[in-house]
Amino acid sequence: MKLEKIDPSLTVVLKNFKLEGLNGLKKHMNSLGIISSTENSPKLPRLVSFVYCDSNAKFDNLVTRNIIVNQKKGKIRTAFFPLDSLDEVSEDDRIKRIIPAQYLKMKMDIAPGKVNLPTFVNSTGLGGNGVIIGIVDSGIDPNHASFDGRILKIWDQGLSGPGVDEGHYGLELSGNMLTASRDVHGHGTHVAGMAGGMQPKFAGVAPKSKFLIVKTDFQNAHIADGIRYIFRVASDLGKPAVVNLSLGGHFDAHDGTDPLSLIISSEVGPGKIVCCAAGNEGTDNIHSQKVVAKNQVRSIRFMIPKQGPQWAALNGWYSGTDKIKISVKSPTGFNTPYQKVITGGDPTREYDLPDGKVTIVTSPPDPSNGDHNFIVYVEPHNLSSLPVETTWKVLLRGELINNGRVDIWIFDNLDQQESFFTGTSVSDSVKIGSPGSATEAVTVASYTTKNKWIDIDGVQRSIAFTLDSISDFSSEGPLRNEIQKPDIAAPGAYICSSLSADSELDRRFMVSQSLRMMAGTSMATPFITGIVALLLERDNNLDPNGVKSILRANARIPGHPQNTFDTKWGHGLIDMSQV
Amino acid sequence: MNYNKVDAALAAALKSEETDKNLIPVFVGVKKGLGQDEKEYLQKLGLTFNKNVPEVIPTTISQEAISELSDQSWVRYVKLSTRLKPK
Repeated sequence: MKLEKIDPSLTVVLKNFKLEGLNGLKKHMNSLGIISSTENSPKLPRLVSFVYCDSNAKFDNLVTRNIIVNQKKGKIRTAFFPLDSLDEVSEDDRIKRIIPAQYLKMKMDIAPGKVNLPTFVNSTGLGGNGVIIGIVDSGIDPNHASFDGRILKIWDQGLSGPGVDEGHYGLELSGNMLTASRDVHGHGTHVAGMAGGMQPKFAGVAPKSKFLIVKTDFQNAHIADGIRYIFRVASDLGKPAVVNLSLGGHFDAHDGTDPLSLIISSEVGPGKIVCCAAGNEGTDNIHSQKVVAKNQVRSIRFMIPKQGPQWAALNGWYSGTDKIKISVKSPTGFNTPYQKVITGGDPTREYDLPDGKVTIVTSPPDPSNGDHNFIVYVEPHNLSSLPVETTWKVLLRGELINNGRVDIWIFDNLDQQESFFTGTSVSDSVKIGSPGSATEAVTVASYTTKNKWIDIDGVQRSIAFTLDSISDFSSEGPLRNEIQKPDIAAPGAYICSSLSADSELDRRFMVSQSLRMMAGTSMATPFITGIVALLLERDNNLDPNGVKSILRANARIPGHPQNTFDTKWGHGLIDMSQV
Repeated sequence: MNYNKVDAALAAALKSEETDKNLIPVFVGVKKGLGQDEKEYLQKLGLTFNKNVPEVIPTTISQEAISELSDQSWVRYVKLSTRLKPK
């Protein structure tokens, strides 16, 4: 036996076979190409393998000994022979190397199993046939094998053109022109793959659905246009549709009354569903909540990092039945005057403190919910030259109080380190912003099913996420008006899905040239979007309440009774086994 | 400009030098059941209706148009469109 020609995994197999006989092969049979026989069968175990050889080598003389090399030419060929013949094959000078075949798995193998999706799919045969999945995101790789022939149209809002009925900007593409649009970010391609991708080594949740794609600039008005576009085109085609919104922000009232949430809640209906991400701020100190009494002053501390945007923006809301004055105090103790709600004129006031410029906006009640919204902008002077981060304070003084509760969020719309609340000013709740706050949307939290993978260079990677639990980063509800959100949890970390060829990516997160790893409620959302597509195939008249009823009835928080709600889990992890 | 109808974010944006005053993305909230005159007024400003939610209109308009709209009795609010991010 020339062991130097034999792959290490095969030497282990041989050792186990010699020590334990057929029993020793059992542990390898799910992973390696070993075909075993029953205990008393005269047939010997056989091996399916790759063999490396000279490209013109001929192996006809081995056939009589049941050693079959399948190809007549080539440096790497496949072969099939009794395990007992391994010795002879390794001694053959024509053979340079022997590597056993391996069973490949669909790359989303962990996540679907954790929620019993294969059980549901196998028993129902559903795949999203006749359903449209709409993705409003960073675009899609139109050449990716995962979506071959299934992208109906792309509305690329960034390209020059006459636009569509819902917005006279951008360009609508179809057919051969789809390739004019590119996903350089990669987010949208990964999301689409999760929801309905399909290729030999990978499958999304609803691989028979068709796609309508909106490549957006993430302006929420343009996102609203995109949602309307998808539902209009789907309606023209006579198909039900589910729209995936793996995006969000915190510059809204967090109660579903912002314009985008209102548009979503009005657009959905029978055969028209929207799924939204809950958000990834579960471990970020972006929310503060205080209750202010009459004549009382409460302070909220926030820090502005030296690295980052060099400014802070805070978005505050309180009841329209209260009157609260707002002031800002600088790190060295200077503060602005207390500013009341300003009616009948510009509600913006600017203050030049020694530490920096402060802008406070105290508008009259918002007609959508009757509540007060105030905004604070702080631009510190010479922030980068300071030795440490600086702590600022928002001061709230109660003038007329019926409710007293004040919620403030940090504006977190950037991909760099931003301001954050500190100490007792932190409130780990009410972190689901628009559009996840849309009451009629299905809002999805993330559950961790995988924290290790082998990257494209063969290196094992691992992330310190707790397996089989709600992901730490998943944003907490409820909404500001106590409406229960999120609705449901689904696998969102770490998920393998389609890689856009036009995106630049750290190789540590690449699994192959066409697949990558990502994590976020962005990944959990298309999981549910795909499930909704399967449900719509079964009943194309399902409305949001119907979808939520099905999801809730088939979800559970581990260790808790059915129908328990939690501000992080929602109604729990989806389980498709009984749907 | 009727600032009672302009949300805080838009009020701040209108003050900011970084805002392109000719192209401000907003949502315009209008009362239900607009008459033909009002619809034509909006169409002249480039706003398009959606039959499902005619009361909330996303659009991109100038500061002058925002000021004009805020002065109309049938306009409920004008709110700044903000940029979201992938999750």
